[in-house]
Amino acid sequence: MHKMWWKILCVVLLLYTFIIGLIIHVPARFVLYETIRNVFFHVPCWFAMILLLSVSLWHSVKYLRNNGIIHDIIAAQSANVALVFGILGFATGMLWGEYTWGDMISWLFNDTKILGAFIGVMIYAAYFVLRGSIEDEEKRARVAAVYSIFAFILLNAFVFVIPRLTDSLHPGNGGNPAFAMYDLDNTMRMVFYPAIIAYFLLGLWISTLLIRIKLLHYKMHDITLLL
Amino acid sequence: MTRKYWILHLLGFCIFCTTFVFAEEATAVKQTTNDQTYLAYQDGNNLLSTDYAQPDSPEMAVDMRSSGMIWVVVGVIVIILSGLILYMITVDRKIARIEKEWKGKIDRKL
Repeated sequence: MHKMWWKILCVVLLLYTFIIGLIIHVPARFVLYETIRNVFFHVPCWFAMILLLSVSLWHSVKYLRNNGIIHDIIAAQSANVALVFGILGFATGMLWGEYTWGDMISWLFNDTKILGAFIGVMIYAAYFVLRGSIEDEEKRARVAAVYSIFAFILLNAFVFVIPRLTDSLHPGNGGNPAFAMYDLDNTMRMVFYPAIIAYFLLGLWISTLLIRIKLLHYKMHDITLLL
Repeated sequence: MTRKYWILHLLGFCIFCTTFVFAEEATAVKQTTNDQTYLAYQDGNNLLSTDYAQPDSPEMAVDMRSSGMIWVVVGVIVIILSGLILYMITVDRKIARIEKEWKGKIDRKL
C-alpha cells in the first residue's frame, strides 16, 4: 500500500492520545475535576470537523475553478465525515455538560456556542439534502460547491464569531482568549495537539476510503469522469 | 500480510509499555488524600451542591489511580481502539484489492 506513513502516524497518535490522555497529570479544577480530560477527547472532534470542512471547502473551490468531478467527490465525502465528527462532538458534549454544567438539553438554547454549532451542523445536513435532490451530476456538483462555500463561512460565523459577542459557558467566549481559561498548561498541550492531529488524520483516512469507493462505483458503471 | 503492520503493532505496544512508567510517577506524587472531603464528594451526585464546605483545592481521583484500576479502563480503550483500527485497515485493503481488480478492465480515463 502506497502512502501509508500518515496512516501509521494516525494510529500512533490515536493510541498516544487515548493512553497518555487518561493517565497524564491534569490541573485540578473545581466543577471539572477529572473531566478536564475530556478536552483531549471531546474538543478534537470539533477541531477535526472544522479541518475536514476546510478540506471540503478547498475542493469545492477547486471544482468551481476546473470542473473536475473528482473535487466534487472529495468535497462531499470529507463533509460527510466531518458531519459524523460533529455529531460525535454533540454526543460527548452532552454527556460532559450533564455532569459539569448540570443540564443535558436546556443549554442547547442557552449557550450561544452550542446553538451556533447546532445551526452549523444543520446547514451541512442541508448540504446533503441539496445534493440528494439534484439528479444531474454536473449541476449537482456546481450547486453543491457554491452552497459549500456559503455554508463554511456561515458555520464559522456561528461557531467562532457570534459566541464571542455574547456570553457562553465555553471557554474563550465573551471576549476571552481561548486557551487561557482552560489552564491548558504545557502538559495538557502535549496531549491536546497530537489529539487534534490524530482525529483529523483519522477523518482523512475514512474520507479517502469513501472517496475510493465512490471512484470504484464510477469505474464499475463505466462512467467516464473528467478528472 | 505485509510486514509493515507488524511494525505498527510493535509501536503501539511500546507506547503501551511506556505508560507504566508514567503511572508509577503519578502514584508516587499524589499520596496526600484528604479522606473526609473525598467521602463528601462520593456522596453527592450533584457536584455543584454546596452541602459541604469546599476544600482549598479540588480533590482529584487519586484513589482510582493509586489502586491501579485506571489500567482496566486504559486496557479496554486500547482494545476497542485497536479493534477499530484493525477493522479500518481491513476495509482499506479490501478496497485496494477491488481497485486492483478493476484497474486493468476499465482504465481509459482514470
